[in-house]
Amino acid sequence: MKDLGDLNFFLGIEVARSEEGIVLNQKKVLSQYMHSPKTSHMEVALRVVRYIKSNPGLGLFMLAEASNKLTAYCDSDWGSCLQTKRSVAGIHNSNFTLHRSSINYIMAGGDPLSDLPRSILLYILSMLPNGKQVVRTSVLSRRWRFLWNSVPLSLNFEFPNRGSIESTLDYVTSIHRELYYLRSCEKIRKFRVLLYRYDERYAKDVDLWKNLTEEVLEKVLSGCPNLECLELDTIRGRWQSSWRLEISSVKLRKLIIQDDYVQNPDFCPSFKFLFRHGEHNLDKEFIYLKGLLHSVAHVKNLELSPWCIQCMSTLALEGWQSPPSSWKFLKRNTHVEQLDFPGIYSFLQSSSDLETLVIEWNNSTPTVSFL
Amino acid sequence: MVKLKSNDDKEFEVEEAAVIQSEMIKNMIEDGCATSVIPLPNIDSKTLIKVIEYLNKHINMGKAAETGEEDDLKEFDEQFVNMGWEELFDVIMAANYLNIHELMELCCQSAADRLKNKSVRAVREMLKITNDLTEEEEQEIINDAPWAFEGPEIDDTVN
Repeated sequence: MKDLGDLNFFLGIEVARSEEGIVLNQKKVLSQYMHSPKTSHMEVALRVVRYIKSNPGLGLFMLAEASNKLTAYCDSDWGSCLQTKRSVAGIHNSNFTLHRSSINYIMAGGDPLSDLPRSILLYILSMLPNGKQVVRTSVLSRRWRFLWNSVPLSLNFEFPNRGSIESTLDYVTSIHRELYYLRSCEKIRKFRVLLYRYDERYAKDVDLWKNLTEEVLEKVLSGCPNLECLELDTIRGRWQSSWRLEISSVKLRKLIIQDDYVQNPDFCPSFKFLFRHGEHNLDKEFIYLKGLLHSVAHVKNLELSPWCIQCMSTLALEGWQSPPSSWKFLKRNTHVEQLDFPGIYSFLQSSSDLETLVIEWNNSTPTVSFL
Repeated sequence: MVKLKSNDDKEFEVEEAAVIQSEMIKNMIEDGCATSVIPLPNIDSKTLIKVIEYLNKHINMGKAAETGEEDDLKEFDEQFVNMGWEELFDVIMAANYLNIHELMELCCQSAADRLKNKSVRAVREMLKITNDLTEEEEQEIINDAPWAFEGPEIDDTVN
């Protein structure tokens, strides 16, 4: 016997290996009828091409992790192959799912939800309102044991009742307990903590949550060198004044910083917070803004919050000139006050490429845009 | 008009404006592959009728927003997902295959809403899941994260 090395081609099936698993592909099998082609084969071939066109790259992927459970179906599709009239058996392993008609799971006595492809199952689970409910599915059956790990989680921690100091303490402890358990989770899509009663004694906890949030955002920003569009919607928090946003992508073409300043006075996005908390240290905020404007100079579409424009106005009056930029589209989404004009003037001067400037009024007067 | 054929050989005529909400069929039409009947081997006629009902109602979604028919559409969606689990999963599989994003979202959200706050026992019963864990294994999982299995919001009813 000879060792032929790793398997790469067997019975017309190509095999590609990686550390994560094996991909099976059978495009070579399609040539079976090439010696005497008929119209029916042409039709089948066209259908295959149509299918491949809308689903490029589809194949079977078998995970390297072992799962020993194998479910087999006998005669699940009897006589469907007109050429051979052979009975068709299906094999199903939790690693991968083959397409089967709905009759199969009734025969096998399986459960309908587990029969959905893994990606759809994960999608449904990701719509559950919090991590607790996703974790709870781990006890349903063996197949569900580790499924929650791959669900993009929305972590929502709502304060249970506006009660005593003890209950706040319980609440904070419960968040930590939950986060510790969730550390193995692959994706965290949303992390939200409502702390009704802030107290100095929770500063360390809040710091920890803050680090977690920043870590996630940093990973997103530094891990996406091709990031093209970034939308930051109401980044809030009392720690924001010390927070730095570093965007490493050179391809960033769209940066939107949302500001709900006017509609909701209680709704405090980052820049308003910056403004408020920096009242006695406005210079620091200005340095931050200058840096931000420099780093987004190559950006094409830019929307600015009212706070940005206000600060730019102040800076312009102090003789500061906004950096040369390649902004082509500029939008500000609240009404303009007279005080804002020096700021607008300042960036108009430096943006020779500017093509569109949109200024929206919120109080139901029409949107004005001019070229 | 575009003709669709289910896997039990029934043909359905659908307006092109409705059917192009399916990314897959839209691509086929753009490439000129939809001149005759489009066979849908993964979808039975019962499911296809539901999908077509949805597509017909959702033509010109943008217009609905303008004319204030949004509520009407919302009501339709609520009624639409009022179906059994197995039917719902058939529609999800069809929406996934045809690549109809909005329908997929609607049905998956409905599935998630039905599972929301349900106890382990209730979920098992609703989805007919056979528990193949031993009692010790089950206890071990619960002991690892007891907080996930307790709370006043957990609902043990089956619907």
